[in-house]
Amino acid sequence: MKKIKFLAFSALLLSTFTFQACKDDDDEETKPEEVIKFKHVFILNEAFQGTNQSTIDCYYPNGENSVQQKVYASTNGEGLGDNGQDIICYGKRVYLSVWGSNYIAKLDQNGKVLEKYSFKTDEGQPRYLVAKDGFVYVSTYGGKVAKFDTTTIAAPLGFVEVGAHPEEICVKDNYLYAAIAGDYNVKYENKIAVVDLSDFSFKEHIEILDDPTNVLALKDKLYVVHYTDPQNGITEVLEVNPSAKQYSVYSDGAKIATDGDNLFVISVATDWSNYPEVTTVTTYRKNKSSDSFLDLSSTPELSSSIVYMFEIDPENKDFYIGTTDYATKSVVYRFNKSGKFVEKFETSSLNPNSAAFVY
Amino acid sequence: MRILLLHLLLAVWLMMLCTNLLAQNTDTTIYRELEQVDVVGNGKRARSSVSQAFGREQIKTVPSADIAGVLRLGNGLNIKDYGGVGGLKTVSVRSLGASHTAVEYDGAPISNTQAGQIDISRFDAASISEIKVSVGQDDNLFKPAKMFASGAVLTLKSHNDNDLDNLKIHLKTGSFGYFATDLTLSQHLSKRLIIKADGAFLRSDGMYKYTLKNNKNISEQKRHNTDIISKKGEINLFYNDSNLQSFNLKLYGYDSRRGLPGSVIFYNDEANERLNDRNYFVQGDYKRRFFDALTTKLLVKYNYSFSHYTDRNVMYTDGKLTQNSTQREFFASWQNLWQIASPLTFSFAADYCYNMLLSNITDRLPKRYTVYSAANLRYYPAKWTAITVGSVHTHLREKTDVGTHLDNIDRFSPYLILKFYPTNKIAITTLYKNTFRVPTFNELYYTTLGSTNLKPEDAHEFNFGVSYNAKSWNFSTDFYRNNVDNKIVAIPTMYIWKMANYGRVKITGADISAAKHFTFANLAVNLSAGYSYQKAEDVTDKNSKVYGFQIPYTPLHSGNGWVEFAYKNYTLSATSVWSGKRYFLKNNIKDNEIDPYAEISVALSRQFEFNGSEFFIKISCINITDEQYDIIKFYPMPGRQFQLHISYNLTNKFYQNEKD
Repeated sequence: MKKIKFLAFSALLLSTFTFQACKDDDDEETKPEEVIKFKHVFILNEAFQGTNQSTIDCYYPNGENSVQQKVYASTNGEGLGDNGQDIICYGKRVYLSVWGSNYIAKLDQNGKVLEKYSFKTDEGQPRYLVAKDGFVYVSTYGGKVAKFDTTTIAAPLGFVEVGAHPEEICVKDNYLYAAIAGDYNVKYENKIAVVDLSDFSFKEHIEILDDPTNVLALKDKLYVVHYTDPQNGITEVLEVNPSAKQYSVYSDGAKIATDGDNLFVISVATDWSNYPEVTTVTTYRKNKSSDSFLDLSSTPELSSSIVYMFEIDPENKDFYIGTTDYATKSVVYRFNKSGKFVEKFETSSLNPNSAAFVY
Repeated sequence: MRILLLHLLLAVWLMMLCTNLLAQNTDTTIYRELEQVDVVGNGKRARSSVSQAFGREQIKTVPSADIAGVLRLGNGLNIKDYGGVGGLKTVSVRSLGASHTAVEYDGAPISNTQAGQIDISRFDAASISEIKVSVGQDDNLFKPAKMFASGAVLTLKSHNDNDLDNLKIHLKTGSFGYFATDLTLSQHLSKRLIIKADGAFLRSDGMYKYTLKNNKNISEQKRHNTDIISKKGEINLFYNDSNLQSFNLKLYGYDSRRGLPGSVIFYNDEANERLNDRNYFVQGDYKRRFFDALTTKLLVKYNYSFSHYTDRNVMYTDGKLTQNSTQREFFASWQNLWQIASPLTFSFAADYCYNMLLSNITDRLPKRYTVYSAANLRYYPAKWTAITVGSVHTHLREKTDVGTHLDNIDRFSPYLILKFYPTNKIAITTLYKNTFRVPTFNELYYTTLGSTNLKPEDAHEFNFGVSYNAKSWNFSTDFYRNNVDNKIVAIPTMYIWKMANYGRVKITGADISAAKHFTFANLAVNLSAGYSYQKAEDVTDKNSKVYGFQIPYTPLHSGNGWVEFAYKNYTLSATSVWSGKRYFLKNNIKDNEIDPYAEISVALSRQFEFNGSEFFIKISCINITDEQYDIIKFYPMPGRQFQLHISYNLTNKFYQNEKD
């Protein structure tokens, strides 16, 4: 029974990915002197639940394909633990959320841990991160969003209840939006929770469709990935108008990201029903166009890969696509903003799920 | 059903054909067929090429107090142990997987249709008199048909010294708050009727220390939420009418409450999982001999088991996850053994089996109806050879209240065993057996995870072995090839893991064992050692990167050693088990390795009489070197631990005197 439950858990965790990028907001501690080139990209590898094999790899986008593997372990002398869930860069600091090991950490640019906060039993284990105006927000499986001051994350400033199993969170203007997936053991939820950041209070729920997991804000809209058929892993993208509290189906799709102007959608359609003939058709679309935004001529394998991570470098708009085979190999591909392949590298552990672009 | 009838007709036909031979049979041959046990060599440690048995004396003097600890001294066995007294323990034979091992307890199968594998941790060594593991099946042809349908059989027998009237008290205590007691009372109610009552209690805190390695950071940690309390009660009635007929009745009850410490997660030692188990069964059998040559037996068993699992975490609705499962089983078996002629034995058995599961992990309410029918023939054409051939047919129908269910199964599982005895000391065994295991209720119906498209998982076993058994030493070596097809595995998908028939494993192995027995003045010495080589390759997909890789949790090299010195009433027993590196995930890379280990344990025991009562005292030190190791990754095994075992046996000589 234990084993089965473990599998069920892993199941949920495997579904996740993030697309947080560095926000060069007006945090006084971290305001960059000048706009400089990216120094490096931290790739967070989730690995399987229960294996304590989550790692961070450091990729230098200097065109020399240089990757430093397992930087967290080499810098800190210990592993980051089980199920790294999300990583973001905010100013000069990197924030890391580790679901299984139940903590968030503030790292310096080299990946050295400066501070850690382990969540208490009633607070719930951490999921996704977002930062704004000198604060870091974390969704937790306690049905909450926690607020931390970036100057010290030693203790949370407060929590707000948002609903069962909040997944990804994003910030737009003065509101935080959280995808509320619901307790998969009992009942899926179909909501986006809205939190007013001016007084850090719950404002309202926007009803959408069942089991939303990812959300991003683009212009005056929210884009949400939700499961139409969790059993078979089928997802679609919803477009939500938060002010009118209305939604519509945008397209099929599993991973979404934005460069600030456009929505990029990756669809991963896999037929799991017929082993061993597992077939995957992966498409890369910009907005509602049916053309691929990537030139796959030098990486044809990407048209049938399982995409686990999709990130866009907020500065130069490069695309980072992380794939997995759930067994032996995960590869991160980098394309430039016009969709031309730059390079690829293997990660040190399975299932890369998010990237932090560090100045 | 047609198949069952065919088997029946065949049986009747053979019976009529050979009526004239019936009178010629002797008691000794049928006794041999009924009671055949592979006790070889010095009679203490029995090892033939494909079956391994541990007798009462060994179980008693060996340092380990649990069945799993004893079985780890066997060859070619993978004992999965999640650590501690309450940790799940299962037996897989030659990498087939634990679900291919059928477990028999006092003549009837123990089953768990929901989980497939049987947790052997509940059987206390103190109340077991014989443990036997056989590849394919054991030599006894007089068994329920179901026992021929698996790739391997683990046979457990409780006390067999039933003809003595006695009171036995076992007390065991040791490290980590371990305390166990067992009280057995057996009494003749009349000359032929014996009652035996057995009550056992066990508790353990299990909060043992372990060393946690996290890169350069090495720390001392402690397991917690590892407590267990269990109670067991058994009442047996044995009636034996001087080999003509016998009747046995067993009532069994078991109740346990335990914490599940879970796997070690770095920086997070929250563990709130609890598991309560209850199991009751009643089994009765009646055996009768007809015309000297035919013995028939009827066995009926009703089994009820209930498990209640909870986990507390704020992420669950109302902070708690509860899973309740009730399983019911009705089992009936009709067994026949017929000594057609002195060199020819035929057996036929038909079983009916009903299993159901009521659980909140599924909305299906599955019910399974199975008819097993087995026919076996053993022929000794000459002194130098024996042929055993047989087949078991499985007829399975499944029903669920809603939704799809497992497809019908109608299949034969044949086997052939050829034995040659070039001399009376050498035995050459070749074996082929083709079996399958039916998907479990969890694999089929567990919410989101289960898949009703599953087919049975197939196993083919080939064995070639030579054993040499002389008075003072024995030696055996076996080579085998097993193929597992349509292996049922969990496949990760975008959202969840799904069960699928997606796996092929090719297992090539060798088991080598040697035992030496000698006496030196008053000192009796038993030495034995075993080595196993198991190359268990994942041959699922030629294009996969893991093609040809060793499957998880299977060491390429493993072995054991056992030394026993007996001097007067003292016995000093030392055992060691060791295992090479294993992988805990499919990919054979350094990151997925589990370190090799060697565990050494020592026990000193003394048996003596005092005022007509028998005492037995054993002091053992398990894992004397405090080896820190995992069998299952992140489920650390206990370090050094001490145990004291005292048993008291008060024998009533009254009936013995009367018999004389």
